[in-house]
Formats: sequence, C-alpha cells, structure tokens
Amino acid sequence: MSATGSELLVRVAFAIGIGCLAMSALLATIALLLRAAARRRARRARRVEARWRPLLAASVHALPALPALAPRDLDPFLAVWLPMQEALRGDARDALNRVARWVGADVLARARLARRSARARLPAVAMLGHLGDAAAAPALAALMRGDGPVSLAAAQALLRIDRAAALPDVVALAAARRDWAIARLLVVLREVPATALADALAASIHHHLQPPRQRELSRLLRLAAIADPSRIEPVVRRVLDEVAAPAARAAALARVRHPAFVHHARAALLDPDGRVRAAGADALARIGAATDHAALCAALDDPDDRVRDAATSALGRLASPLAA
Amino acid sequence: MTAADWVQWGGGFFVAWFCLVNGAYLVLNLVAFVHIPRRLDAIAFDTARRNFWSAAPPVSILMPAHDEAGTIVGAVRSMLQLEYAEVEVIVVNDGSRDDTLAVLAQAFALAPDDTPVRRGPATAAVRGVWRSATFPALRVIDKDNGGKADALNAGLRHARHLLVCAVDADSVLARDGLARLVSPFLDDPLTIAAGGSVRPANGITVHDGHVERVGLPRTWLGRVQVVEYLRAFLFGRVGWAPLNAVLIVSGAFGLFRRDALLAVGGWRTGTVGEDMELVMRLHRTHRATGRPYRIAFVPDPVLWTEAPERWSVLRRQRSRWQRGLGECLAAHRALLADRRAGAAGWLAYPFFLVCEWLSPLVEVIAYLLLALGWTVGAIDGVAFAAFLLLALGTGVLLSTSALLLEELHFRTHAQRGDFVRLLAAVVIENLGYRQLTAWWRCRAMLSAALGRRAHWGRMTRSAQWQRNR
Repeated sequence: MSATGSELLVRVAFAIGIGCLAMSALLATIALLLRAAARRRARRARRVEARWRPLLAASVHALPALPALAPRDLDPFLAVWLPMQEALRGDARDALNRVARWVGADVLARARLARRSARARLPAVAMLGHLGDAAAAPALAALMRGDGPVSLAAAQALLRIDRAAALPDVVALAAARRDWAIARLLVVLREVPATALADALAASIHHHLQPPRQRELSRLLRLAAIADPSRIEPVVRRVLDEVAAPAARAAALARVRHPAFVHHARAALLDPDGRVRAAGADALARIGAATDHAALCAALDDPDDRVRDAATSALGRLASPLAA
Repeated sequence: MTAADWVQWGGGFFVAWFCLVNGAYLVLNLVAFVHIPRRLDAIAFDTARRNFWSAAPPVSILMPAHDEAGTIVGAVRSMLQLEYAEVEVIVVNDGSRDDTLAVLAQAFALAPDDTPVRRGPATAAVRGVWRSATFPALRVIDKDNGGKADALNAGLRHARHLLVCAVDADSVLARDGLARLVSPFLDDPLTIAAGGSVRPANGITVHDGHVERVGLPRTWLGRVQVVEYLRAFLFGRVGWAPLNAVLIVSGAFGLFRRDALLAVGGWRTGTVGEDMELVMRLHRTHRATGRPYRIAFVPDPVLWTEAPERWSVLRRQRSRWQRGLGECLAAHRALLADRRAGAAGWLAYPFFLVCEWLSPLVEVIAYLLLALGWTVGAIDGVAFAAFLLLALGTGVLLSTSALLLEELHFRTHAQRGDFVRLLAAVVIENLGYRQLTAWWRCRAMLSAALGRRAHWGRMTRSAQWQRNR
C-alpha cells in the first residue's frame, strides 16, 4: 500500500470515528429531549388525573361543576375514566357517561379515530363503545374491517353500541380473520349473552358446513366455548356426522357435554389424527363411563403425546370399573 | 512487501472489519427501530384489557435451581404472583449442596406428590417430587445433579401444560411478563418458541417477588452490563425476529411449545450453551422436515436477573458464553450449507460466526498489533489515534442507539439522572471494558481449542436486590 493509501486509510478511520461520535451525541441529545418531554407530559397527566379522579368519583352521586377538557388532556382523562367505567355498573356507569358527554370527550374521541397510531386510537374506541355512541358506528365499522389491534377493539365497541346489529358481522369476521386470536375474541365475545352468541355461532357454523368454507369451522367451534352449550349441540352433532376435517372434528368434540355424544367420543379414540383422538379422550372424561376405562388405558400407549396426556387426565376423572 | 506494507494492509483489513461488523449491528438496529413500535401496537389491545389474561393458554414454568437458597423464595413468589390466568411452577432442585430444598420446604409447606410423569428425555435420578400445600400450583422436583439442561428436561417431563417457560432461579419476572411473552403464540399458531428481554436486576427493589422500583446498579461494572444487555436484547435479538432467524432464546427467559421440545428430545446436556443449541436444533429439525414454524422474540416482557459485579465471576460468565457459542456453531455448522435453512442459515449463522464468535479474536489482534506498531514506530501517533477513535466511535454509536430505543419505547430506567449515568456507562464500556471481555473471550476460544472442558463454574450471588424490602 502506498503512502497516499495509508494516509487515506487514516483519514477514513478518523472520519468514521468522528462521524460515529457525532451521531452518538445527536442520538443522546434526542433521547434527553424525549425524556424531558415525557417528564412534562407525565407531570401534566398527573395533574389532570388528580383533578378528574375526585370529580368522576363524585359524579356517581350528583353531577359536580365540571371544568373544560382540553384535547391534549383526553388521554389522562381516559386513563381515569376507562378503569372506572369497567369497574362500575348500572347508574354509576351512566353517570360517568353523562360526564364524558358534558365535557365533550365523545367529540374528542370521535376525532381521535382518524389518527394513525393504534395506541392513540384504542382508548378512544373503548370510550365510544362504553358511551354507546351510535354516531361513531360507521367509523368504527370501517376500523373493524381494517388491520391491527384497533379492528378487534372496534368490534368490541360496536357490540356494546348495538349488539343485535353488530353480532352477525363480528362472528362472520371472527371466522375468517386469522389475525384475531381466539383468546382475544373470547374476551370480546364474553360480553355477549351466551344464548345470543350460541344462536349467532350456530347460524355461522351451518353456513360453513360445506367445503371450501370448512376451514373456519374449528375457529367458530372454539368460540362456542362461552356460548350456551344446549343451543350449540345440534350444530356440533352435524359437524361430527358430516365433516371429515380433523381440526373441525376435534373442536366439535371439545364442545360435547351430553352423554348422547358418547359414541362419537369413543369412535374418535380410533381416529387417524392425533388431535381428534386427544379430543375424544377429553370428551370421554366428561361424558364417558366406567366401560371406557380399557380404551383409555390403551390410549396411554398412543404415539401422540397429547393423546396420552388426555387419556391420563380422563382416567383420573372416570370411576374405575373396580370401584363398582 | 515490506514490514510497513504489512502494517498498512493490516490496518486496512481491521478498518474494514470494524466497519463490516458494526455495520451489520447497525442494520439490526434499524430493523429494531421499525419492528419494536409495530410490536407494541400489536399488543396494545392486550395491555389495555386486564381481563385478557383470563383467556390465555395455561403455562408450566420450569425453574432449574442449583445452590439458590438465597434467591429461590423470591423468585418463586415472583412467578406465583404473575398476572396470568393459569400457571404451574415447577422448581427443579438440581442436586444443590446448600439449603435450597429446605428453604423451599419451609417457605411453601411442601408435601410428597405422586402426579404421574410422562415419557421424555432421560435425566439424572429423581429423589422425590413435592407439592406445596399452600400453593398447589407449585411443585418441586428434587434430583441428582445433572446440570441445567438435565434439570429442564426433568421439569419438562412433569409439565402439564402445552406451553413451558424456562426461567432462571435467580430472577424476578415483571407481573405482565408472561402474558406479553405468550402473545406470539396467540398471533401465530405456528410459533414454537419465543424469547423475552433479560435485564440486570442489580439496582432494582423487589418486595415479595414484585418489582417495586427500577434503579441502576451501584457499581460501574453493573451499569456497563445494563447497557450491554439493552444492546443485546433490544436489537441484537429483535433484529432477527422478522426474518424468523432468531438463533437464541435466552435460557433465563424463554417460552416453548412442549410438544416441539419433546419432538427434538428436549435440552441437550453436555454443553454450556444449551439455550442456543436448542433453538438451532429446532430450526434444523423443522427446516429438514419442511414443517412451517416460527421462533419469535419480543422485547417488551422483562425478566430481571442478577448480573455479576465481581470481575472474576464476570470473567467466568463471559468465558462460558463464548465457549457455549463456539460449541453451538460447531454442532450446527450444517445450517450454513443447508439450502432449506432460510435466513437462519445463510444470514444469522454467518453473522454469529463472524460478528459474535470470531470478532473478539480479530479485535484483540487489532489492538495488539496497533500497540506493537506504535511501539516500533511503524504506526505514528495520528494513525494510532485514528484507529482507536474508529473502535471507540462505532461502539459508542451502537450503545447510544440502544439507549435511544429504550428511551423511545420503554423508559424502564426513569429515575432522575439514570439516563446520564447510562450515557457515561456507554463511554466507559468502550474504554477498556469491551476490550477486556474480548480478551477473556479469546482465552476461552484458546481453552476450547486446547480441548479443555467447559463448565458452569460457581456463580456467586449477592442477591442484594432481593433483600430490599
């Protein structure tokens, strides 16, 4: 390498080193400014919360004199209002809703729906649902069909605003949207009365019995865990009699509670698919008899770990034939 | 070529090396800047709803313990108080020589338990299984010493639930940590493993297993490790997640599907890098069979664990990590040549080989040659300063960007003055600490090359943060 090359190398090293240090100083400054801004926001939020917490608590009994709510105070206001809303019932909840409307929080929340950030929109969506704000329904319906966590929150809000109108749409989307995790859907649908949910799910399951729609059956059947079992049983029977897809059959077996399904459960123990065999063993734990003891003992040697687990659990719950 | 030519070409090589390695970290950093806000948006629905946890799938927490009498009760209480619907805690007392079992028996009223155990990986002999009378979700397996991997396998055989979470016994988990860690399994049913962030517990205040206050360690050695951990977890791991190329889920905090673990035979004993080895084996097995899968990393759930604040303990830890990394890379070198391996094989593996395993050796040689060159006059003071500035500048930039990521999204160390102290730690880290750890790692590589066995050594715990009440 020439002397010129050597000098160039030194210059490159210097330039990169100095550049990195300068960039580091810039990043550190940005971080410090962010921290200072966050501290100011936190101080303001604490003041707003300290002002609104006693007012909201007092509103449960009588409407106090209320200050104006500035748009930038919506988040700290909701940080107090939402947990109170979720903790209260009946007239106390209505009183909180009156306060929110009186100070214009509903207007601010509707305006917030146009923001891009999910974390900015979510509290507003939750508030509009609690308020039963029908004016926000079209915007919420559009959000429900969009992406991300706001879509599920919008579904929950629409169910709170008008359950009868929203439930069929929510169930239809719940069947198809793989990004709506079952665990999260159960939280949303838990607010729907078990009979209404069962009817909506049963109607949707009927619609999905024919291929190629059978993919959604297992999701719908898993959601039926919180529905009225007596109203779900007819469709469960149809799934077990007519559908071959293992995921759907396993999900259907998870819903059986009535002894009339026991022959389905016994047949499932011999299914080629491990999920179905495991679901069959689980079902026998609920509706089986002492005569199923032998079959469950045989399942202890199943090559599928899930089946062995389910059989172990089922044997622990069934009476032993020796006890008779 | 003259000696001066060699020095110049060598200098060119080292400049290029520093730029390559740090450039690769910078790319991971940029990926994290995009990925982290998306992740936090995605879980915003969960964090806004406390009752979400009631529908989450049950989890078996496996906690291997060896000589953990000082920390085990606090760690177990931390797990029993998690904001999570259904959890069972399985402590595996792995042949402790101290009072770990006696401490557990006294704190949790243990009584013999005869729950059946499933078939699974063979382990060292189990002496007894106990269940808490006061906390029925807690079981303790007492067994002969077999090492951490062996203890985890014993716990795996006793686990009842579909998901198992491996945690360290000297650690405290944030109350919502498990719920956050489970979210990849809800978002994508193909997820078989997920890792969370680990941070030094030195400086936090814990009361009955609950983190009350987050502070910084009192020593600069501890503070430098805070920066290191931020860098490692906030972009060192996050950056690989979108490519499904996460090669390590920390043994201190990882969530797995039980059936996926059993299918690959559980954790492998006989290696000190059992956490990375397992994840690489999961990648290889699933790629070889063509089974779709995902291994995730999520930065927001935090497990707090004690970082060594004594130099001798830190040296043993870093040596062990380097040995473990080398063992894993050697055992799974087929990943590099496997066309089915995806980004895990053609991108992540070479990254870990070059930037993590080999880099300390190149760095140490660079410093030694720099010093030698300056001493014999082959390198003048300007060149010497330039190369030192390059090494310092690139290191400081990466650590500072980790602090910015932390400030943007988590702000865990919110006490007044903490950020400035962390900035100071960033500088200190690059003025001797990093070079020292690189030296230790080189010695570990030499030890491995000479065929000396790696071992865990004795991790001396102060557990000061657990005595804070």
